[in-house]
This record gives sequence, C-alpha cells and structure tokens, in this order.
Amino acid sequence: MPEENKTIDASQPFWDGIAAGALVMQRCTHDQHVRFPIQDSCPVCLSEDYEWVPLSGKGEVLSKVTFHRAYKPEWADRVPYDVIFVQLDEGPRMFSGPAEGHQGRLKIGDRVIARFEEVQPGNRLPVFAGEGD
Amino acid sequence: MAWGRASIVGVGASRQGKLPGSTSLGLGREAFVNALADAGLTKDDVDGLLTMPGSSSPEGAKHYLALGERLGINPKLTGSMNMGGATAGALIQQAALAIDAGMASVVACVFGDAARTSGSKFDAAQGAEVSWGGWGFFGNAANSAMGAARHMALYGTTSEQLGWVAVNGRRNASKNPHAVMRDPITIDDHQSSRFIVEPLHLLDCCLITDGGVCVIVASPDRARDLRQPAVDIWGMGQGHTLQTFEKEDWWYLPHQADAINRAYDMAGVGPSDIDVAQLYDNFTISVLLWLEHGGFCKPGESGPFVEGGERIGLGGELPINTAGGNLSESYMQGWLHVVEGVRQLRGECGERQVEGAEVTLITGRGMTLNTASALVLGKGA
Repeated sequence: MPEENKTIDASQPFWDGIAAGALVMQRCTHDQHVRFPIQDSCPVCLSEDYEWVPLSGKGEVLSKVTFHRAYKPEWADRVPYDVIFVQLDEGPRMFSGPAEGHQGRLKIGDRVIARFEEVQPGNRLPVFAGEGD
Repeated sequence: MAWGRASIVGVGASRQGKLPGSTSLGLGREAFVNALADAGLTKDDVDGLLTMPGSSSPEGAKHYLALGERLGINPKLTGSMNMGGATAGALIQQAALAIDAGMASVVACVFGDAARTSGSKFDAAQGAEVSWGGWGFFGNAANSAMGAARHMALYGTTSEQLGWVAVNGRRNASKNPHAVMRDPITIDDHQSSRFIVEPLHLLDCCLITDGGVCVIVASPDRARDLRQPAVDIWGMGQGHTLQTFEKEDWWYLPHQADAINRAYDMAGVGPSDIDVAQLYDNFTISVLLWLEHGGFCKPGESGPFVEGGERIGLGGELPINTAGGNLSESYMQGWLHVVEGVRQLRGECGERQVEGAEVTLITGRGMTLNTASALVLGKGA
C-alpha cells in the first residue's frame, strides 16, 4: 500500500461501522481519549496506539442551524434543511443532520441517538433522531 | 505600563468594492503607495515586507516574493502569513517585534484581494479530513450561525439584537466616503433580508469586496519624525483554538478573550480605558462575542448591550466599527479595522470622529473560528 494512502485506508472501520449500523470511533489505548475527526494519533497524548470502539450513539444537540441557501447543486432541492452540532456522550463533537422525519423537529438541548441513512445517493452517514422517538 | 516599543506610522487603502480586472498584487501595490504617501516615506525606506495573500492570490505562501518583485524591494525581513481575519493583527505584531529587535526599521504589512471579481472562495466546503459537506454543511456563515444559535438558546439573544450591529455598521459607513455600502438600513430591513444560514440573515453577513490595505510600522522615535501624529502599539495578543471540536465551548471562542486579555495586560489597560473599538465583524454575532470577551459586558449580556444601538454608536459608551467594518465599509479581513483605529487616534475621521479618542482596541479572527488577534493602540504623547 502506498504510504500516502495510509490515512485514507485507516478510516475504513468508521465506514464499516456505518454500514453495520454502529457509530465507531477511535479510542486511544494509552489515555482512553475518544477522538473525532479521524486522525492517526491522539491529540491529548500523541500516542499512535488506538482501537476502534462502538459508541452508544447517544448525545445532545449543542446547536442547530437551518440552511436556506444551497451551496452545492445537490442540496438545491433540500433547502431549507437543518444541520446540528452534536455532543456525543463519549466526548467527541460532530456536525450531523436530523434523521428522516426529524427535519425541523430537533432543538438545542434535545437528547438524540444516531441512525444511519443515505443522506445523498451513495453516501450513508450517521444522522440523529430524538432519543425517545 | 504600556509596551509602546513600536508605532504605526502610515496607513493606506486602495480603491474598494467591485474592481474588474484587479488582482491581489495590484491592489496591494496601490495600498502600499498610499500608505507611503500617508507616512511621508519612500519605498527605499522600507526594509521589511510582511504580507497576507488574498483568497484570490495564486501565489499562496510565496505571496511576499511576488509582491516584493512588483514593488522592487529587497528587504531585510519578509514572509507571508494566513490566519484569515486574525492575520492583520498578527502580522503587525510580527512587524512590531522585528522593529523592537532591530531587525528592520520600517516594515510594510500588505494585504490585497480581488475576492469580489475573481469569484469568492469563502463558500468552499469546510474541513480537509472530514467533509461536513456530507451533511450539507458548507461555507463560513454556518460556523458563526452555530455559535449564534447556541448563544440565543443559552442567553435569550435575539436576531433583532444582532441586527443592531448591522444597523450601527451601516450608520457609521454612511459617514465614511470610502465605504462600499453607505445607504442606511433599519432593523426591519435586517429582519426582512433573506436567511442565509438561519439564524443569520443576509444583513448579518459581511460584504465580499476587492481591495488592498497597507499598514507601516516603525520605531516610536522614527514615528515622531514622520508626517503623521504618532500612534503607538501599547499591547498585542493572540489566542487560538486549533483543535476545533476537541475543545469544549469551541463555539463560544474563549481564545478570543485570551487574545484581548493578553493585549490588555501588555498595554496595562482594561475595558474601561478603551475609547473606541474596531471589532472584527465577519458576521454580526462575532461582535457580540467580542463585547463579552473584551469585558465590555458579562457573558451572555451582549445582546442587551447592543440593543437600540446607543451604547455602540458614535457618542455612546463604546463606539464600535466607526468606519462601517466588514459589514458595510469593505471586507478587507480586518485590515481596514486597523486603518480606522489609527485614524481615530490621529483625530482625522471627520463626522465619524470619536471625540478625545486616545486608546483603541482592534480585534481580528479567522480560519473558520479558530484564530484571534488583538491590538491595543495608544495616541502618542
């Protein structure tokens, strides 16, 4: 495998997790820090040793915005649509979107849980639904 | 005790606005020529050249090389930096350190960008390692909108309160003959302007313009022999959150408070000493956060602070963005904030002059929301 492709290849477990219906992220085996975005070393202790662990998929909506402008053609028929900022229970934070049926329904402070949906054709990603739904 | 070991001796801007056929280098040259004339210097006096490549600069990190070639300068000290809207303050800090160390005697800090006519790059998808675009997250407005939405949820801040920042900027721009957008706006105009990324309306967002700016730094002794009243650099600070989401409260940008407090400490001043402030306004929410980070009000209280526009207006307790800022004067990524700060201390701002202005705070932020710089400038004795 060419060296320059190493980091791309290293993200495969994340995508495999999505395909299997689990939110899988890297946990440092030295300090147990769970990190996201994916990178090849721990930003806390700089260790390169880590394992892929399934997360609960649960978290809280830290913030939410609604795109009224389509910045890319493939989003033109989707506006207005929400993007949320999620605090995962295990520590990492990420941008994501509402699960099907949750557009316009998630609010800041809501408890949410991950689902896995094809957000755009051929692009299956974690999205979030209300935890009680 | 203020630091005061370097001074701003010249400021200059190019034409601003929609300038077909202009280039980053050409606009930088135009500003450089104007700043030299302002200072009463010639290009042969300049022995330091620090630059910020514009978003339209094909030279990238070699921008200093291309600009030096165009200006016919072989400096003792040079380089380019890009920390987005924090660059103006950060480069001027580099210039001040070089002056203080004796590595150069006159340092020109230059920015130019043909962002408007070359096609804006500011809407590009964010993130190299993870594409947030997968969830439809694009552009710089969205990051600030995330912060605005959370500020609203936590503190009850309203869109109308954000609107007062826009109204204030335009009101000041109407008194600035060089501002690109000078027609006054109302809160109703702000509220009825279309949403870009909710909660941010169009009038919460800065302009995209072509233009260049140059700021010339020299020693305080040299400043006192030159054409303009001396404006001294009292304090300098930076703060950064390079980790983005790894940092709790990233959305609130606590590093901006660090940048300001470092500048205050170096200057030996606090918020009550600031007569006028130029606070980086890529979006209206930015100004609310700066007001809290600068200690002008408590966390969460910036909405009521700006409401009605009196406190932040000319004649108010803290006039801000007196030339119109990024929202109305021109989007020079904070460089014109420095120019206006200098002009206020020189007392040359005409009908937008803040009477008796002796100390000013100038802030910048950039690279999504991750970098911040602050300058405290003082009127020379």
